[in-house]
Amino acid sequence: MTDEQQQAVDSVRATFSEHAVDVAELEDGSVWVTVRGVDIGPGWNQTQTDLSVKLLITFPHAPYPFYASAGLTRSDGKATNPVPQNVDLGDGVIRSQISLRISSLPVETFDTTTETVAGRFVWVMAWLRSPK
Amino acid sequence: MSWTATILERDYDALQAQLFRDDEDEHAAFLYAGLHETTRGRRLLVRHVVPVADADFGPSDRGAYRQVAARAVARAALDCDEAGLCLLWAHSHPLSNRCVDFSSDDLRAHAYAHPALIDMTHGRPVAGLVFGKASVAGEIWTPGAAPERLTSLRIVGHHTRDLFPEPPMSVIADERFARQVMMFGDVGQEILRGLTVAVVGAGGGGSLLVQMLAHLGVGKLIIVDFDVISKSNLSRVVGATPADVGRLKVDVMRELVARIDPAIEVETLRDIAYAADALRVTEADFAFLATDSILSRYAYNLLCHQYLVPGIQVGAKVTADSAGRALVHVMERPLTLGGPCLDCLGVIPPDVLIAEQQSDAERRAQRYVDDGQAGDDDPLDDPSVITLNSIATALAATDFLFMFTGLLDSAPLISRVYYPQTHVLRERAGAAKPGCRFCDPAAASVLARGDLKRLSLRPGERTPLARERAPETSAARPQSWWQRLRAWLGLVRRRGVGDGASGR
Repeated sequence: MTDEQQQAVDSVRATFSEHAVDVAELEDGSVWVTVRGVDIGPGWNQTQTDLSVKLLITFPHAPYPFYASAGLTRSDGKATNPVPQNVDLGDGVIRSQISLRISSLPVETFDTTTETVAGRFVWVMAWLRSPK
Repeated sequence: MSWTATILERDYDALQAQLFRDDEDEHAAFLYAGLHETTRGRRLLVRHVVPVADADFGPSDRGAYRQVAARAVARAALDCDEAGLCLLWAHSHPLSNRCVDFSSDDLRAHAYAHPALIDMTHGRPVAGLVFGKASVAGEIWTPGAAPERLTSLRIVGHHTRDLFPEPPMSVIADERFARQVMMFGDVGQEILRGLTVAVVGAGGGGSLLVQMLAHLGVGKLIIVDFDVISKSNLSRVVGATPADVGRLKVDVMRELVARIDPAIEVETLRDIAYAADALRVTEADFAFLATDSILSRYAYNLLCHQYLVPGIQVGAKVTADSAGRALVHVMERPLTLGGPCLDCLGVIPPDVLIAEQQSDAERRAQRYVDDGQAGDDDPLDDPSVITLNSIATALAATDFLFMFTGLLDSAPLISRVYYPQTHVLRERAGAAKPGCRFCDPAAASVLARGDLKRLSLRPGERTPLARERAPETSAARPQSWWQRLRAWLGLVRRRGVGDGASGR
């Protein structure tokens, strides 16, 4: 794990100390960070989900998509935006991608002086709890 | 184990301004440095120059002419330790020019202070340096070892050069270099012979660079490419023939260099995005980048700044305007490490960087919001033409040559773009971004940290391509038509014997 990945993992563990935080290093140097059992409120077909992000070896160069547990859909039947997908990203775990870059916007490098990966987790959780 | 130090030209200029003033008196500065262990020796990589205030460099109470106040040294040691760097303290001998050495008082001060400073910086090396106007001497202390002397100081920048305790002996260059020696002298040729140069990418651009560097007479080449020669490479990869299709490009380059100058040492590697190969590249004095991969560009930018290896990125691009007309430009982007890095110049697009690291499944998952580039599973090759590669690489190789032989004039060495259709050459000045994680010494950047920071690259080495052809020995792969004929005759004879035997 690189120093930057380690700092990000530490920030997630410190912020979500009441949750289990799983960390899995892959052969290519990327790291899956998963916060287990996140309460996402009544708007979904599940009340809790596992929230994951993959920190590439180039982290913090560029932000990365967040993923939830497989099969996550809105309880009101509306299509979600972005559309969740159930994908196996090579580690045998099926996940739904819930945030991603938008092609009409420039992709910015993750700025570690003003934000943390833990902060991004919080932002994604807030979005999940009040989906539009 | 030899010791050298490396400093950026802008920092050396600041150091000179601090150490050599009109008062012709001695002055001092602290240098905070990273550390790099190589097979050639240990390098101290200067990251910060911190002037010592005159009030903290007064007459000594132990009889020496001047000494740095203990409180100033302690403060510097604590700063260094907090930053995870090594402490070097430097002072000037203003009457020394091309030769310099420590006084006995200087050496006594080292013996007195260095053991405590090593403790304060958690066992990292501590060094004393003394500068003449065009020379430097150094003494490096490490835990439990006798002090060692600094061999040289490399100044990296517009004129990349070495300082020594005294001028080294010069040798007469080989006759093969007679015409170029007329331009930069035997000393220049000796400088080239002492250099290790990395060429990352052995395709159309990289092969031209390898060829030019071999003719120039550099001492060692590190050539990096994981790919094999394809048929479409034959139009532009120098040294490749139809018989080389399927062979590793780096093996073809090794043979090219051997034909030009067998005395040049060649090391071949696969991929600088992997830490094992990247660390080998950090041993180079200079590194060219000639690949299309953004991940390679990221890795190159990272290791050049973390290990203070200057270099130049080259490229040629053919795009199309709205009417479908070809738009051609070639570019060189020097990394003299005192200016903006490739990320500050905006040439490491994050979306492509992500896409290059993703699995097919990940790219497919994101495709529905993609712009059709980053998520493509089978991106089309870009156009590539040898004449365009030749322009970019000639500009870059000439800048490299002039940087090391001192032939560049005072114009800044910045990115250049040439438009062959209009014969226009434009300079592209850029600015370093405050807070840049690669090049800003004021930020928590990788600059000059060397081994004191883990390299943020893929662990280990790249695995070979499935389509890679097994290396052939020179005996099995004859070079001349006569050798080919003899081999063919030998093959016929062996077959004849074999056929006869099997016919029994």
